[in-house]
Amino acid sequence: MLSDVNLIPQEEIIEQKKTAAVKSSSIISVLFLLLALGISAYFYVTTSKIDADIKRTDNEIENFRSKIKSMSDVEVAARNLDKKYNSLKSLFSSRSKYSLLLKEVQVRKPSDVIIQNLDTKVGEISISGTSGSYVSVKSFIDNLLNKEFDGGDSRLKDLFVEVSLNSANFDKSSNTVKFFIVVSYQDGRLQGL
Amino acid sequence: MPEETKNKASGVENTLAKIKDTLLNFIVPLISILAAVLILSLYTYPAYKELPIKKAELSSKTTLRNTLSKKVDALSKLVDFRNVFDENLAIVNKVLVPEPEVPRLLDQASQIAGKAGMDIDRLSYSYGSKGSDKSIFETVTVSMSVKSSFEQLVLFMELVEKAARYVSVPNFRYSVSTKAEDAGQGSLSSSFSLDSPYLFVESSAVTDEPIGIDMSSKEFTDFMSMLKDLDYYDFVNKNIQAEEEKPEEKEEDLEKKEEKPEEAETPVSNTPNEENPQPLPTEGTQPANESIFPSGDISPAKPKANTTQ
Repeated sequence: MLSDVNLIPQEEIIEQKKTAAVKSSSIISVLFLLLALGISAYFYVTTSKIDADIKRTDNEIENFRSKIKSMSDVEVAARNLDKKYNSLKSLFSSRSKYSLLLKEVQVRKPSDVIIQNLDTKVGEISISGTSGSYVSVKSFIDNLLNKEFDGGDSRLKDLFVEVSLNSANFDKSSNTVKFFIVVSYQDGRLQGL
Repeated sequence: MPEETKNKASGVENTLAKIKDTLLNFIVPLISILAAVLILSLYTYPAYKELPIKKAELSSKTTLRNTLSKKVDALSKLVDFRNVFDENLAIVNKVLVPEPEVPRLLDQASQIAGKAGMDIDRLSYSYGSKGSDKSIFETVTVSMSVKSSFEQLVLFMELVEKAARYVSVPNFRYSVSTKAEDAGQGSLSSSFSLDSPYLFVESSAVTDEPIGIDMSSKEFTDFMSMLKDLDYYDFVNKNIQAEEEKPEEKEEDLEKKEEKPEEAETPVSNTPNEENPQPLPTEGTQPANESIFPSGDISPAKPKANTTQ
């Protein structure tokens, strides 16, 4: 109970609190100033370092540029080589090897089938010819579409994707079957080989 | 008197104390806050805003410096290996020529046909069709009609694919010849289009841009090895003659051929072999200043359908 007795007048307490508040605010404001100075110092140091780095990098860049300019003839030749190299790469990778196409057609053709005309465009071959029988024509078509065909180029197993038989007629005079087929093939399979 | 002096002194002390308190409690905090606000607003905030920009500037300059440094290294290497570099440049210029060089192309085509054992019926060329691959190339197209066996045809295709000057075959057709006189020359009549692109490049030095090429890379060396393995044909017949086809003529020609596919089976009567008994040259056998075709009316390009002048 005794400890609860406060003999200091209320006004004095308020005055003391005011004084303490004023002092604290002074200290806080000074600390605030110091903090502002600290942050500014950090930015000043960081910015100065970056500025110095930029200046040093600029000098290095100028140095490299002057070296590169002294080799400008080599640079021009290198760029020419680069352009042609890239062009050729794209040309060679997109060139279809029709020699392989011809061999593949030939190897899949039954012996009694004779190709009279062969017309090749990108992705399509038109073939007309004669055969000893309808069975041989069917066999030729089957061979073209056979993905497991033995004897052909192993890289071209699925070269031919579709064969449409446009006509097949028996010619009595020659005792042969005349046929006309259109073969669709994947041109991409002939590229880059 | 002393009491009066004491009071005066006490008054001064009080005044000083008040001034001191005022300074400590109001002026200093006020100045501190003001200074802090000024520093923050006039220096720190702009510096804070500027810092990322400066960092980005430094980063881009560092990247540029590294790029230039690598470029200097690359150029120095090229200078050190100038011979190899020049050799590679010469090879790519042979494969993808800068100019049409039509006579050389015709000569190459006729040499390949000769090497494959084919007989040329017709040889003509046309300019200007762009390559099929949406490209930057200009193209010379050589049209050929030949007589051969199937094996010779395949060999011809293989030789074309191995030829140093880049040539592609966009389309071809062949038919079995029914003529008895062709029996000794081969049973197939074939016609081709040979597209040869050409590309003139004129680069300029762009100091700050890197060079894409890396001559020491495996991809590059492998590709150059492949180019070196191609077959190079000497320009043996500088006076080779063939007719230039205009694009309209070519289209008409193709249309007619499509209308009459049987025409291909029966070669035209005035082929060079009938009119010109001279055999076509094989590689290395033709004097450099002599045309493989006789001057005057008998030209191999001469008379097939619409290809005549």
